[in-house]
Amino acid sequence: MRMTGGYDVPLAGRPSSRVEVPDDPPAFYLPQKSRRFNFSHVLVKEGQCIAQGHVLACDEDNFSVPLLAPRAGIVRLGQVGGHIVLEDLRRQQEQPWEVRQDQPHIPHRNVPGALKRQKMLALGAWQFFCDAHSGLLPDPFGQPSAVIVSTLNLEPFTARGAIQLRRRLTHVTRAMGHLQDLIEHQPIFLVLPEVHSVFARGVLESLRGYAWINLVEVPLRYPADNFALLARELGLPCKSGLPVWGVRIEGLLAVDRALSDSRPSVRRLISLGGPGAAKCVHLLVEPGYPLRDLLAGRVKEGPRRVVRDGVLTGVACDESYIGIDSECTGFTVLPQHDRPGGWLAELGPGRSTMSYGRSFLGRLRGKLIPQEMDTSLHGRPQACISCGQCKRVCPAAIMPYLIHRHLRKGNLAAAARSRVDLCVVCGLCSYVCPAKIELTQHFIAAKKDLAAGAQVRP
Amino acid sequence: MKTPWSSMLNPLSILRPALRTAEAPHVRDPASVARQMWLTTMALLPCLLARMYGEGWRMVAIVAVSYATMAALEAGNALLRRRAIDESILVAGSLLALLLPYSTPLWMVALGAAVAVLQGKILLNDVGRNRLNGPLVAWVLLALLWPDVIQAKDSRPDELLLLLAALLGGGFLLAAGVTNWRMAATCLFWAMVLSGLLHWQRGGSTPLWHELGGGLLLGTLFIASDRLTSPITAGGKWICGTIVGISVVLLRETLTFSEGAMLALLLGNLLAPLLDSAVFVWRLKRLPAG
Repeated sequence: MRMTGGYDVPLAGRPSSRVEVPDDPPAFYLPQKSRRFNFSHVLVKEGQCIAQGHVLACDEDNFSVPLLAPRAGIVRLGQVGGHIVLEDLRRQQEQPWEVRQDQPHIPHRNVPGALKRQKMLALGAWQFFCDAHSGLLPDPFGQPSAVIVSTLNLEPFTARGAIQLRRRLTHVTRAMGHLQDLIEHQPIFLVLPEVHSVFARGVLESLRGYAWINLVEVPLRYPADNFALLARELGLPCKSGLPVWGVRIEGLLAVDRALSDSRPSVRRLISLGGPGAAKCVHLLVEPGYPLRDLLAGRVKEGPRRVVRDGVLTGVACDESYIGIDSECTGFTVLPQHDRPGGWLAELGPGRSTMSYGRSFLGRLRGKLIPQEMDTSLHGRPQACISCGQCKRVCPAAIMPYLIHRHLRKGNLAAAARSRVDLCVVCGLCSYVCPAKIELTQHFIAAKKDLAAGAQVRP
Repeated sequence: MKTPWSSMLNPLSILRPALRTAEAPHVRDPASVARQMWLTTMALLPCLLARMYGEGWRMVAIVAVSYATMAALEAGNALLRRRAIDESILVAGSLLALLLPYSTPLWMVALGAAVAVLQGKILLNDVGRNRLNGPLVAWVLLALLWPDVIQAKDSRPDELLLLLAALLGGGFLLAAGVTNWRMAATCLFWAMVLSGLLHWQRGGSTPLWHELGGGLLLGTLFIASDRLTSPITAGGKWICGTIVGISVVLLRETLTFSEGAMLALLLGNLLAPLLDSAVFVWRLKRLPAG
């Protein structure tokens, strides 16, 4: 598959392939809110003793997706606002899943693999799925038009798929088999960086016999792993009415764990990297692990900003972010210097400065050299100077400068005609903009406004 | 404490602390508009030095008046609007001085500089909102009001030096990636082709005279390549370059107005939004259906 635009941000501090398991913390702090979910319906009581994998709360707006207990322990409610705290932790083997009498009636019995789907939902594997076009959780009992399985995580820095894939190849292939049982005849696209590599051939060998699996080669350039982009390139339009399921390697491992072993997915592989990290590694942790304990001894001294997920689309963690949420893919630590950004910074030749354009001598080196980037804006917000860099870098092939022009005038209808809906919110236009315009944030707001308008309209 | 002065003086201070990102993306590319303005100013420097070398102190005075007027107006604007002084005046100041002939009275330079900076950025609040190149508008206005002065043919002993300096500056802009080379290249190409045809048909001025004479080279290298006022789409640039290149030769051949290049470039500036709109329509049609 060819991709227009895209760019690999030369950020230093790429997490190594080493996987660490941090020590047990005194307590777990499970946030009730994550990026997509709001586990507002609490199902446990204060002081209740629970086993590992017990359902603590569920999100009633998202098909009752459960928040599972990462460990056995005692529940404390109301200790920290918006969090369920687990104290007096014990390592206890989780109970295998079984159809219990108190479980709700399984709907849609005629859906292929209805029991398997119910099991995935109950054991926390369904949370790893998303609708490729909207990014939301698809209906667990609905049918997709296709399934995209991505082995890549290209945003700096999120937990890399390759690390999980190499360690558990047999689990992944088994999960692909399970995935086929859930659907009827829809195609499964397996996204790989090189379909002719030894590694890809190994995957293909182990998948032999799965007739509906198509291998898709994508360039190793951010954001080639974006599901919306992949769906568009593979000719899977969203207007067909059916969702396109998107799942990454960690999702497949969760599916295998749920369907082969009947065990809940309570552990996540996350990454820790960035120029502010002293140890750039991958970590195997449970949701609810205290962030302070996780970062202790792993980040450099000095003022810093901890970004949850990648630096291009992630959110800065503030004081209220205490425990790791159930959707976290990694943390990127950025130094927050008070370095001069005045004329001295503008006038230097920049022999080792890497830039998207050719404004610095460093670009002449050919390949991108990782940079010790910080949270500096490198300039001040100004009006658009029509340099066209946003258009060149945009993987969705839209014209961000044109949409910006319309949005600046408040013309939402014109922005819609300029196809702001095709924006995949990769953050690259804001990254390269020399006028430091917050293009991505404006587009997110416009998309939200348009969606709200579409809902209001009959 | 934020005083009216602090916003203006801050950018002048060399140790100004850098602003920080507020939301995603949390890191940004190191290139900024200020950096690009400095690079363009550096590209104009060889031309300025060549003219100062050839024309002496008079040229230094023109540059000084041009800069002083723009800096004063921009500083007043920065104070009134409580914002930073913009680096674009560095480019505009040099460019206006280069466009004006040696014999221009200094008060006329000041008037031109005021027109350039007012049209180019102050009235529209920010650089980037202007549709027309500031120094170009100033030159055309002065040339219409005082044609004898502005269109006076200086005898320049340093023509070759100036030519080399312009090419050096253009090459620097191309290497630094802050130029709109498509427009400049198309413009020079069509001017060469059309003047060649005319020369072959009826004699007269040679294609090389067209290319190198007057302000064509300077105009295409530093005004047509100004990304703010030329089309933003590649298609628009090719078409606009063609229109400007052809109009330069036609204006020079038909009008008594000796410097057709500037009028042609102004025509290009005026046509740019129109050409862009046409390309936008074509491009949007090719996007996948929603």
